[in-house]
Amino acid sequence: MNNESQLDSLLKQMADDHQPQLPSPGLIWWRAQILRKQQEQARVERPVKIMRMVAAVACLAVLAFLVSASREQLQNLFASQGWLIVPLGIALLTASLISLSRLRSSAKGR
Amino acid sequence: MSLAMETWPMTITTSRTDERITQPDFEAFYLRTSRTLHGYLSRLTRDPATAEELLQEAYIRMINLPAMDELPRKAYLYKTATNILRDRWRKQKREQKWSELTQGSEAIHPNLSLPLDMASVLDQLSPQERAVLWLAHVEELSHREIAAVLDVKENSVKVIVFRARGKAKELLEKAGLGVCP
Repeated sequence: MNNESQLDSLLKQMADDHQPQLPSPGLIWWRAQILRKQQEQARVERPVKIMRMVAAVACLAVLAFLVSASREQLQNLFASQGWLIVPLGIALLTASLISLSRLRSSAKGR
Repeated sequence: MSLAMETWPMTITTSRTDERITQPDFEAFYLRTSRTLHGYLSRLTRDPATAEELLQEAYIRMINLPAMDELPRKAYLYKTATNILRDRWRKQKREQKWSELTQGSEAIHPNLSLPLDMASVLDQLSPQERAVLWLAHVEELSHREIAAVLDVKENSVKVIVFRARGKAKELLEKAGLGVCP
């Protein structure tokens, strides 16, 4: 026997002697299924998330456009009826917070 | 090097359908391959717990691929496990270890006054040398197949295998483990 085959047999012997306590194949299979479901869910929900973001940006753009287009009328309105600022501000803030929280909950995958 | 009776495919192709491996097929495959894969990863990482994590990750990735034949599946498994380990070392900023794996340079000076067994002899080789010795002798892969698993050139594998065998023999001789000069 040459030394290469001796080295070979020593390595094989070492591999044969290696008897680790490994997780059961059922556990690995189960983990793989969970991961696959999560990935599939994320893949399905991705277009919806993107569209929600697009909708939010579009709403903000429209709002900015409307405000800038009717700036003079708004200034006149607030000048004559200043008390409107508070309820309008509260309504806008509430709507923004609700929209943001919905976006965040959908981004987290519910 | 003894050659495997069957050769591992160089390119890992999946089946044309989107069918995945079935649970019974997976369990049988796992029972056939997990022990040696864990041995390979244990030798590379020198840490059985890390080896087990890598092993699980590699099998999980394999399960979620379209079904393959046994040999491409096994090739995929070793290649994936090696790549996960490489990524992990990179993430942990242990690039020095990976450069050992890709360049084969190692500056470990064995303490031969200690008793040695085959495992501790391997531990004194570089990760790359440990990997090629395991793949060549335990998995009985050809140089070409080892090159595919480790992402190195075939000619480099020849040199690394030669050097690794030389080092291992020298260490074993000095340790009196029975390899004739």
